Amino acid sequence: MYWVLVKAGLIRKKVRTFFTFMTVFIAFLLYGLLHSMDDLFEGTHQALSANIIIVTPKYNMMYGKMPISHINFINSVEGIKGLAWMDYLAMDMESMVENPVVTALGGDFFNIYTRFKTSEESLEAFQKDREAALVGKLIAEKKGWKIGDRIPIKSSITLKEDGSELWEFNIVGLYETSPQADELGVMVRYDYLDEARRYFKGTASMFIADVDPEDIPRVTSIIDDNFENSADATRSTTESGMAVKMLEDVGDFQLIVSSIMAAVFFTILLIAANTMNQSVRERIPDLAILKSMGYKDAHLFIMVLIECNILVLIGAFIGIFSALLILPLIDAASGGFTEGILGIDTSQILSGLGLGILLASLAGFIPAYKAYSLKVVDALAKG
Amino acid sequence: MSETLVEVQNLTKTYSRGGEELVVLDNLSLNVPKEDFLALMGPSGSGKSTLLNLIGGLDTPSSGSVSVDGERIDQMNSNQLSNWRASHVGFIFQFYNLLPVLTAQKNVELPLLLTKLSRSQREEHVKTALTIVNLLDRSGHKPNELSGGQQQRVAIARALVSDPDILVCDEPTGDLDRGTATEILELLKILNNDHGKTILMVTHDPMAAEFAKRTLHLDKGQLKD
Repeated sequence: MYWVLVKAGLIRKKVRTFFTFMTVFIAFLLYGLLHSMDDLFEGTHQALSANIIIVTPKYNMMYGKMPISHINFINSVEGIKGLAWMDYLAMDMESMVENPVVTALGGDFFNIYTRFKTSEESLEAFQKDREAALVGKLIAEKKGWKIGDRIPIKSSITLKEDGSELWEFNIVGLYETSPQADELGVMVRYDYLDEARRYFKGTASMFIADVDPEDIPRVTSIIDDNFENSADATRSTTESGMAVKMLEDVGDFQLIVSSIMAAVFFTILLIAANTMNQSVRERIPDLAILKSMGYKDAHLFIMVLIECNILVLIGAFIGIFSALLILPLIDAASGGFTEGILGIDTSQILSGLGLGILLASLAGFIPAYKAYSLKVVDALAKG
Repeated sequence: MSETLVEVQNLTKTYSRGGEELVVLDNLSLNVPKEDFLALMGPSGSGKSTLLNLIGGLDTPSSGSVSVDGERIDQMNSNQLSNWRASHVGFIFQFYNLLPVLTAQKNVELPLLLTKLSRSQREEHVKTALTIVNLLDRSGHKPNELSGGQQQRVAIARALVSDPDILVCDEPTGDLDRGTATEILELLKILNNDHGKTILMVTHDPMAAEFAKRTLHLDKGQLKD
């Protein structure tokens, strides 16, 4: 019974239905795309290691430096099973476009960071050659690099001792990891970088410690408490926690995303409600005729709600489905940078559809009630 | 034609407009026998449509009673009235009010969607109704592909399809030219004579009233003849 009436309502004004559908479609496409980044914002990305503590400068996490001597204390903390340290070849924006991120590694990096994998031979070669570089498989493919190549890297900020901006490294091996975005870097030796650079000698940007997950709260507070009142205070957190804090340093992304989504959905609510209101208003004589035939108030209430739900849910379903189709294209366009990070899981899809039902029911309630409470005699007199 | 189908007793309907009580029907009593074709005439505001709405179960009286085939419809609640209308009364209005996106067949089928009839049974009923109004060949056409007279025939088929006891017609020819109006009135007459439908028709048009078996005049909420 309802399908005939609902279909008649939806196709009565095809253009209006189409535009309303497109509004809902675009909103849910946005919903799908923005929620695909949830893992990144919430730090729940599964690839990030749960047993690793990252120690960074407390007040300038992204660009600050800490004395390398911090390793003495960190190593002494009970529960530390391994320690590595890192620094970077700092680059200006122009250099960053042309050059990969170059990370200088010291300590026990590959044993701690087990998601980064390289061969034994490459690791041996890396330890033998002070100018050695392990390059990510992805960047090697992109740049056409192979083992044995000597690669130039320009860094306008981290200058060499002689003041030159050009660093050169020998590729001794490749590394692989997940997410694949992390294969866009080059790993070099910290001891070489530190000795060869003009400024910031004896500093590191980050310490990485291997700790049992249950020990993490205790160990992080011991480290941070120790350096709290020094000029080089630290902020220790898990890898996923660091990802969140780095984003927070730029802005509260989740708040931004939530605000965008709230604005988008509030707009849909108004548009869908307006469409349904208009649709019911135009159909008052038709609705009155249906009532005169014996259709009950509740029949018409349900009919309008179903109509609104179909309008919104088709848009929601196609919007989310389109987001699922677009994500692989974004991955491909990013050269693997977003691979494994962007994704929509079943619970997000179901939440989206649930949100659609809620919105449709809210938007449809007032027009449905209008249809419900319509007095046939008055309606026909107006018609 | 002696058995009473509609019995209206001491019917009063008042409306409140601007704080004043407006009496539209004033203690009106009326009997309509089965298979009657009754025309109700009277000036605008005389209460003809209100009387029709009360007999058709679209409105409830302020006082008095309306019985149809022995059932007191004035005592029914909204849901009971809906059920009653679905099986006992068919409405024909001046402006046809067909759903524009549905074909004639689908428009006629609408009242049957409330029943438990199967699809094939519904189609059979629709076919019969469209045959009676002589529009079977236009069953696949939408309202905008039909003339005014044809649209009113579809509306009549829709009113007939559930085989009601009474047809309630409110100015059924008010929007039609003379020739087409005559065709529609002839059709109503056939429905009355050949199919035994009791017809109550409100009209301003004396020519239309001539097709009825009898005519009653209302003025200021009371019957004059």
